[in-house]
This record gives sequence, C-alpha cells and structure tokens, in this order.
Amino acid sequence: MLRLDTQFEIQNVTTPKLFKVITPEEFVSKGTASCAGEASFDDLMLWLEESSTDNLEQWLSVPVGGFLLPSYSDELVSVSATLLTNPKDPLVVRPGDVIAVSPGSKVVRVLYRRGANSNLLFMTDRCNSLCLMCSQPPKDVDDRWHIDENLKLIDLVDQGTEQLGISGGEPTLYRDGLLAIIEHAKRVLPEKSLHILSNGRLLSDPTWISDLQRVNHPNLTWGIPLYADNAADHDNVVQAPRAFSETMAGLYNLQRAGQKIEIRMVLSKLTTGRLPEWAHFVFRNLPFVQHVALMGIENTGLAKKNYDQLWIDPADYQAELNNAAFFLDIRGIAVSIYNLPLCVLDPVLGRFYRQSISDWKNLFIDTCQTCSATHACAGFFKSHSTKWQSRKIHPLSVDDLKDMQGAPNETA
Amino acid sequence: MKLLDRWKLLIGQSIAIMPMIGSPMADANQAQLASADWLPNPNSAPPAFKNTLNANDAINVYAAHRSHSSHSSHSSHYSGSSGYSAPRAYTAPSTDYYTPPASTGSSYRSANPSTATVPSGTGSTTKSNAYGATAAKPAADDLSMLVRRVQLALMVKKYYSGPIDGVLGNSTRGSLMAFQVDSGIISSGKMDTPTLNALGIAIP
Repeated sequence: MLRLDTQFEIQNVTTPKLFKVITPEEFVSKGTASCAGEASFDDLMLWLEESSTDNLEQWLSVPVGGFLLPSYSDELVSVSATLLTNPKDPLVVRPGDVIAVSPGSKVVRVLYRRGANSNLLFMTDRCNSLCLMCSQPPKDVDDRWHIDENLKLIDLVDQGTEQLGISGGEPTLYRDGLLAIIEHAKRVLPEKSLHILSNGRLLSDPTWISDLQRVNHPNLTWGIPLYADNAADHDNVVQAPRAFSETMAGLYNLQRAGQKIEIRMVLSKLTTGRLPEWAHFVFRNLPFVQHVALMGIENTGLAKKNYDQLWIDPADYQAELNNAAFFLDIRGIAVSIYNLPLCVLDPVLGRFYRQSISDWKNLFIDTCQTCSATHACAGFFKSHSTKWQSRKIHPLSVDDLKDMQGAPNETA
Repeated sequence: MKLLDRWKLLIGQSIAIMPMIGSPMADANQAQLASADWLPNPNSAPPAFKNTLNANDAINVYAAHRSHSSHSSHSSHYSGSSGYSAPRAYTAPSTDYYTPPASTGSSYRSANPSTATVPSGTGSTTKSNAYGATAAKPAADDLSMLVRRVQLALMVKKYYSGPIDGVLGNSTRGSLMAFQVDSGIISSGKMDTPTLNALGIAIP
C-alpha cells in the first residue's frame, strides 16, 4: 500500500500543472518520447538524485519544466523552473510517474504511477446515485477541470499495454468530456484497454449509442453495477428511485452500441440473499455481458455509516455465492470474485478468485504473517477494521493452496 | 460378382468422384494460386519499431547523411572544423513524425487554464504547423533539444564539461569526436545515427 499523494517543499508554481517525472538517463535516451502523447520539455521534471551531484549545475541548466530533488534541501538550489524538494514520503513519487502540483499547496498528487495495476483517470466527485456502501461519497462541486487534467494526463503516461480505469463519481455526468477522453485515449494510447465504472443510468438516453459507435474505441469495457433482480432492492441500495430501470435501459443501449459490458455486484447483507435469483436474472435478461464481477464490500466511506444494514460475514454467503458463480459459469459467462480474503472463500470457488485490490489501498493483517497464500490473496482494504472481519480469517497452509488457484486480474 | 454389379460399382464410384472434379481443389494450378487476390497476412509482418534508430525504415533527420561520403577518406584524425560543411543539408523524413494531431476535444484544450498560459499546450500546435510549412525539417528548437541531450550524454560519459546550451559548437563537437574515436565510430563530429545509438539516444 502506497499513498497517491505526499507533500514537498515546492517553489516556482504559478498555475496548476502536470509533470512527467523522469531520470536523467531516461531523459537523455528518450527525451519527450518517454511520454505516450505529445509533450514538450516543459512537461518534463528531472529526477536528480545524489548520483547527479557531480554535474548538478549542468543538469539544472536543462530547460525542462521542473526538477525534483529527492535528497537535497531547497536552499542549495536556485532555478526559475518548478522545484520540488524534501518529500514527506520519498516513496510516493518515483521516476516515470505523472504528478500534479498547484500554486499555494505543498501537496503533490500522483495521477499516474509507472507499473501500478490501478492507474485511473478520475472524472468527477459528482454522482447521481448515493449507494449505501459508496466508498467515495460524492460531492456536489463543479469539477470539470478534471476533464482537461485527464486529457493532458493521457499525453504524459507511458506507452505500452496495460489497463486504465475511468472512474468517479459518475463519469457519464460529463458526457462530452468523457467522449473526448475516450477519443483522445484511442488516438494516443490505442494499446491500452479502458475500463469505465458507471452506474449506467444516463446511458438510458439512446443518443449515447451513436456517440459510442462514432468513438469506437477498440478495447473499452463498461463496468456497470446491478445490485438486484428487482427494482425495489436495487433502488434501495443505490438510494435513487427509477435507478433500476434506467440502468437496465442503459445496459441495453450499451449492447446496441456494441460495447463490452461487465456487470458488477457488491456483496452485502442487502444483496447476497437473492444472489442466485440475481444470477438467473442476469443470464436471462443480459446474456450478452462479457463478465460478471462479484465483489466484497470496501469498508470505507458511506459503508461505515450503514454498517448495520450492510454487514454480513462473507462466511455466511458462500452457499449463495457458489450457486450464482457456477450458474453463470456453466452458461458461458465469465465470473470473477474480487476483494475477499482467500481464506474465507469456499475452496471450490478458487478459480473465480482474483487478486484484485489496487496496490495503493491493499494491506495484510497480523493473522496473515504465517499464511502461505498472501502472494495469491487480495488481502484487505487499507480501511480494514476488526468490525468488518470474517470469523473465518485464518492462515492458509501450502496444502490448502493446492485446492485453489487464484489468478491476478483487474482491480477494484 | 455379376457383370451388372460391376457396372453399378464403377458408375457409383465415378459419380462419387464427380463433385470433386468440379471443385476448386481439383483444378487448382500455379496460375490460379498466383493470380488469386492473395495478400500477406498483416499479422505476419515483422514488428515495427517506433522511434528507434534501429528500425529499418528509420531516418535520422539530424545526421546530414549526405556529407558522410566526403569525410570518410579522412575519417580517423581530428581535423578541427573540417568535418563541418555549411549549410547543413537535412534529409526529409519519410515518416510523418511531425504531422499535427487530429484535433480532439479541442474546446477543452483551449479552455484549459493550465495549458493556455503555458507555452507547451498552445505552442505545440503552432509548431506542428511550422513543421508542415518547412517540409518537415527538424525545427531549430528540436535540434537544440537534441544537442542538449547529446551534451548531457557526453557529460555523463565524462567527455564533456561545458554548458548544456544546445549549441553544437567546437567544444561539443570536439567531445563528440573524442567519443567517436573511442567508440570506433567514424570521427565526424556529427550527431549521426551510429553515434546517437552509441550514446543511447533515441531521436523522436
């Protein structure tokens, strides 16, 4: 687990700005080609460690946008470019990352982390639902600036195949911005797959169909949550009337537009009771979906407030989970189970298990110290507390592992 | 076996063969194979290496290839500025490195406060147009950036200790020649492809 922001001593920042942090070696060998899209020297920030001390003066004369000195203090250096020194946590920003700085703030945000499994284009804090277990409660603010930031970010990330998430909030709220971002990603990063998390409600507007067909991204998946096989239960979970029918209409519109669709379910006391019926509903009404993700609950945000409504020990829904997973699996729909510790999972479900928790919010607890399966286990969210801990948590032996083989896949 | 049965058998066999005679398999010949609209499988093409000088079709626009032959005769001795023939002739790249990007989300770009005030965002678009007007020669700006990377690479390798100013002057040229001699490259004092490769510099 590694945070996505930290503090620096920052000099010479007049506007909010994104930088690609690169080492002198990468700068010499690749120049601006270390960024996937169009970039100038002004977008680059040189990472000058102690090994560059011999030639510090010369390195600092390079006309790049900024310098990051992880091991110098700022009084040694005088430059007109942006200068970052004295990181509070030196591990947060590393070469290859894309960072954001703003005037008047010491906080540096990591927008893209080289080699991470969880890089995300964050679209907005706004949302048109208010799910009981929301891990990131929405804020009603105009944050359209995220659109520009993401367009710039796409230019500065690394080339190469990997998945980029698009999330929020509800990304479809900024419709034109979202379409512009998908289009830009298709042009600059055609080799990267995109995964959009959306509640699908606004997609009930059929004019999305032609827009999505026009953009025609080659590798884009929509992750749409569907929390029940009936409107009353679903609308209750997302705390929005008519949400169920809007989401269903949105799912059909996505199918009409030829989009790849993933159905997502968050496992809670409100949803696990009818899990077999839900699986039946998905197969009967949405047989075209590519993937069904059954996900353990993230115990943060609104979930904490609604603990009593939501908490069920995962050990108590393994039968329903088993029923639903195999029902869909034998009918040809790919199934994954996310965000549960491996030791509470019914061993026969091992082949659906994915090591799924994003690396920046993933941790293991004391019980895990003697477990031989931590390399294959999603572990816990950083927000983990004993209140949300299954009674079945126990260290696994090597023999236990033979019964189940987890495969790393995408992340939550 | 009666004669009639033998006839039946023969007729039966030839009927069985009949459909094969009409099939494309049966009358396939070389001419047909050659003339068919057969195209190489696009997936079987060798990988294209983007942005490296090792690619077959890569053209080093900075190297001034044309002057190489005239210098190869006096290759290995340091001869001051004789390796420098002005004006430098650049070969135009065949690839569209400098094509301005298709405008996507341009309304957002122009509305972006961070890119509007910083020369990178808006400036790069006009630069791209400038490339188009001058038949895709590397702009002076790009050239000086490349020279800076060469100076830094030489500095790291202890061949150069001067300013990182992006000017390919006598001092940089001398360092470049010294590096070329030590690396077994024709000592031209130019940023040619073998030299950039040896310095580990990929040009855009």
